[in-house]
Amino acid sequence: MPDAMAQPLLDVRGLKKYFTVGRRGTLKAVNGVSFSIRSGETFGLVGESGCGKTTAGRVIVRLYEPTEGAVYYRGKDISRLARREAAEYTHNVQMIFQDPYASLDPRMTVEAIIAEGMRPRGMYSRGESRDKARELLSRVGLSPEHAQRFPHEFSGGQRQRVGVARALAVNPELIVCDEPVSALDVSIQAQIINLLRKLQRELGLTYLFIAHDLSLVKYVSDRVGVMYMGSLVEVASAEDLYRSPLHPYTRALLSAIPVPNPIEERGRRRVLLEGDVPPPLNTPDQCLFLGRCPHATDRCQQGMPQLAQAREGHWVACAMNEELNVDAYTI
Amino acid sequence: MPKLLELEDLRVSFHTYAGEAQALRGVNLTLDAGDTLAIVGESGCGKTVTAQSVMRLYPKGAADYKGGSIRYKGEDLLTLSERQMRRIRGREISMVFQDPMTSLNPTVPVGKQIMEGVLKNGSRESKRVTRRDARLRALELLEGVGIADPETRMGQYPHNLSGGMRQRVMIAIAMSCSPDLLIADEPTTALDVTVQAQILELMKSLQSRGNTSIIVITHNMGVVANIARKVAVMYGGVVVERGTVEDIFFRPRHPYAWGLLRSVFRLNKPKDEPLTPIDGTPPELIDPLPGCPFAERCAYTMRVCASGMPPEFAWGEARACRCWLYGPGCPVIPAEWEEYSHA
Amino acid sequence: MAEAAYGVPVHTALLSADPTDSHTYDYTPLPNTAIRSGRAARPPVSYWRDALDRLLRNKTAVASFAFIILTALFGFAGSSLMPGFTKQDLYNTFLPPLSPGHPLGTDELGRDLLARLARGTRISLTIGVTVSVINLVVGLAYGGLSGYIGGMADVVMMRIVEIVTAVPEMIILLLLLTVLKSGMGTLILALCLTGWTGMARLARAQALQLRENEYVLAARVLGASRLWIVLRHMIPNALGPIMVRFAMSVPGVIFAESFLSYIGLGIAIPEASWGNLAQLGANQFPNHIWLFFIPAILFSLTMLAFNLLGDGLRDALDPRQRR
Repeated sequence: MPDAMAQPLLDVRGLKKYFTVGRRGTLKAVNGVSFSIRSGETFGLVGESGCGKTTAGRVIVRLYEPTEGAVYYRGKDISRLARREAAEYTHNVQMIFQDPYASLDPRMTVEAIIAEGMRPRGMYSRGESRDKARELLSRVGLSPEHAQRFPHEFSGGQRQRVGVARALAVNPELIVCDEPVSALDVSIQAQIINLLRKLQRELGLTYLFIAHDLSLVKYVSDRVGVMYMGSLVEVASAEDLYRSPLHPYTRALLSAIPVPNPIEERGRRRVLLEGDVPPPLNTPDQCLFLGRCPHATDRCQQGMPQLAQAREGHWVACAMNEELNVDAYTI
Repeated sequence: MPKLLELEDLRVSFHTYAGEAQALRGVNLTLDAGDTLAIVGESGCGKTVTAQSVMRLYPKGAADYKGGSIRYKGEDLLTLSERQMRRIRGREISMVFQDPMTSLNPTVPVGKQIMEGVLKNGSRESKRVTRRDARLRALELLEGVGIADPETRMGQYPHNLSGGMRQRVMIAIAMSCSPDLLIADEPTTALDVTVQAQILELMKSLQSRGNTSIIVITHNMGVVANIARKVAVMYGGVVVERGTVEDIFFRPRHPYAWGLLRSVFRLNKPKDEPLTPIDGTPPELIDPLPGCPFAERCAYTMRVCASGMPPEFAWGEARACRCWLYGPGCPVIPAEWEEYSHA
Repeated sequence: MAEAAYGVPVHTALLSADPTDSHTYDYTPLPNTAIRSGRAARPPVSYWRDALDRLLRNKTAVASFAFIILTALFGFAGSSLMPGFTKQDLYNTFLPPLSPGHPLGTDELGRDLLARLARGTRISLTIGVTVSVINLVVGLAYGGLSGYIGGMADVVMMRIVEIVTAVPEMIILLLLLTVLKSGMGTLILALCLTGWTGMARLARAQALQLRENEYVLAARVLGASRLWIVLRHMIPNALGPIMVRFAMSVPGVIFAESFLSYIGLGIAIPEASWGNLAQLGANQFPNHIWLFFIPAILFSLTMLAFNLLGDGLRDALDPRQRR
């Protein structure tokens, strides 16, 4: 997305990632996604399961090669980095994983887990990396005495803190947080979110925050992109997206979230969608929300709608955008 | 009026390699006929164990019922034989699980799975049901849970259906005997929000049609607000607070409930307002400390909290809280009382 | 007043408690760190330590392990102490057990059964363990590589495994054993040629599964090399199921060896093995039953012990049993 002010830290342009499924199927996990992240901000990527948000995150940390399109980090295409640059990139861009039970090797001590990223760098001696691991433990709210313990001795929230410390160990600029709290209990989720926000303030980190929970994404992000079946359907500031969502899918998503207040919840007018999200296999060239959209017309069958700026900083990919814009929407 | 379900001081333990895990440490609950109760709490708080104990799903030897009673229509389920229990499970109480994929048989068409239940348990009116009747009933049930084109769906296998559709089939199976009590254990946790909204609507409409009482087990306060009339908040193997849904959301009394409500993400929460998490980690089930399970994370911990499990302090029969703040002569006045009295 | 809004609770539980209890409650504040620190910190326990503890608590597995060790001791120490397992004594044939000088009796050529049994145990165990180790190493390298590289190489390598598996094991064994000079080396070669595929498949399945694990992904995001990932993450985490498979494969190999020796294709007399001891015993079956039953019982018990130990290992290493 064009941003005249400054070069974005991360720029994703026309990103596509297809997987072959069986003999004939092509799973278009990410199907032409473009967005950019400015230094120091939190960009939220939200969508239901299978919408491609995790795949997009994994392309950004170079776990997957893009099928088409590119990711630019500080203006450089990350799939065309020289060896040295690639090593540097892995230290600039880190990831926090969803499942704190699966993302820590059960056979390693917490200290070894945190020090794992420091090792290939070769800039720390054994003793130094040990000290650094202990320092990181206290930074993420664990006791340095925990260094010699094993992951199974910790609760979910504590493990996720170890995961955060591991990512921080290489002094990254951008952290891709892939559903960092969805496996945790409610009272623990807030602890981890507070930790992530504290670290952002202290270290000037930039986050790509991937989650399915729109109320969480809205709370942590400056800007939010909504994904549906591999495409971005709407990008706006978190406040704007929540106050005046433009895409019918975003509206349905917002209205589907149960509000933790019984009186408000009873009085709500819901946009109930029909059916489930179909898997993005061999998708036709039309609006993919067509089958479930309450506002669909013939125009929606004429090619996949592209993101267009509806108003300052608010982008939406919907053929019916102008018409829908008229009818004011509140939750 | 007799209660449909009454749990009194239910204690259940499991024996593990590491020692005895005290999953339930004295659960008290009541459920009126036709009511919807949400049991809310975090993982390991005992909400699933409570449900599975009511259904007596744990095989003998796996779970150790250490005390208390589960009275269903006045009869203690813990004293029933396995055969009597099977009758209750099939006809009176049924259950919907979190993951519909693992609770449906992948090798049998869904229609047949619904018919099996109908054939086995008979209908309300007569014990014997013909295959034709069972088929009609299955079609009716599928239609009743909002599945379009039930004729086609009957012949399909679970893997042909989407997650939301499978959960609808599970609900159809559970409703096939027109149960008096439906226990739904995290019925929407594995589903996307847009599908969750559909399933919640479905459960509410089923209840308004029949006279089924529902127990919903969930960790999501939004789901509680959406569906429940009564709420039981569980922590560390006990119900720490129970009351109507309004009581819990607007006049909560237990410090854990205060913390839980504060740490929930709300769409209208401004970004600059910090979250107030509950410090510390969930309690241990093995070798729990004596006293209140929440004492190690509570902001109002007193000496008495560390020494003895607080009893249930009650305000009427449907409103109770296990917290020493309500003990006789307790001088502490928490700030939350003031805060919630204005709400 | 806020407190009034909350009303006074009914202290049902307290009232129903012992009425003579004039206990008053201590409502002085207590910092909850005091409660947290009251929980004794457990020393860090590594995964292997934990698994070992569980294994040691499993009496059947410990007993099986002890039995295997004793059998091995009997085989190796016994055969060294009693080298005369081929010594014939035609004046003392078919001595029953508990005869002077021959605690287990003698066979039709007057050879001491105890010495022969020790020798046979040594040979059978050696073959069982050697073949299993070779299969382990070959299978692990082959399967691990196949699974880790993936793609076309994986397809080709797995087709080869399928071809090897498709040809009946016995055909390969019989062919090799008739063409080559019979003896321990040939037998080991023959059993290895057919036996490595099982381990290769297991190793591949493990590699495929572990490759997608989040901690392996995390290591890749941190820039770890392939070698590091294999050595540091994949092998330690695959070790559990592989050890179980190893323990279970030893009795299989011993059985194959014994069967081949029994039908006369494996270890040839006068060399001893459990298989040919049992075969000799079977020839004398109705008249001198000890010649058959003594080796057969030791053989069966050892099989059982290996299987029970494998079960115990699986239980001890199964992460689902962990808290």
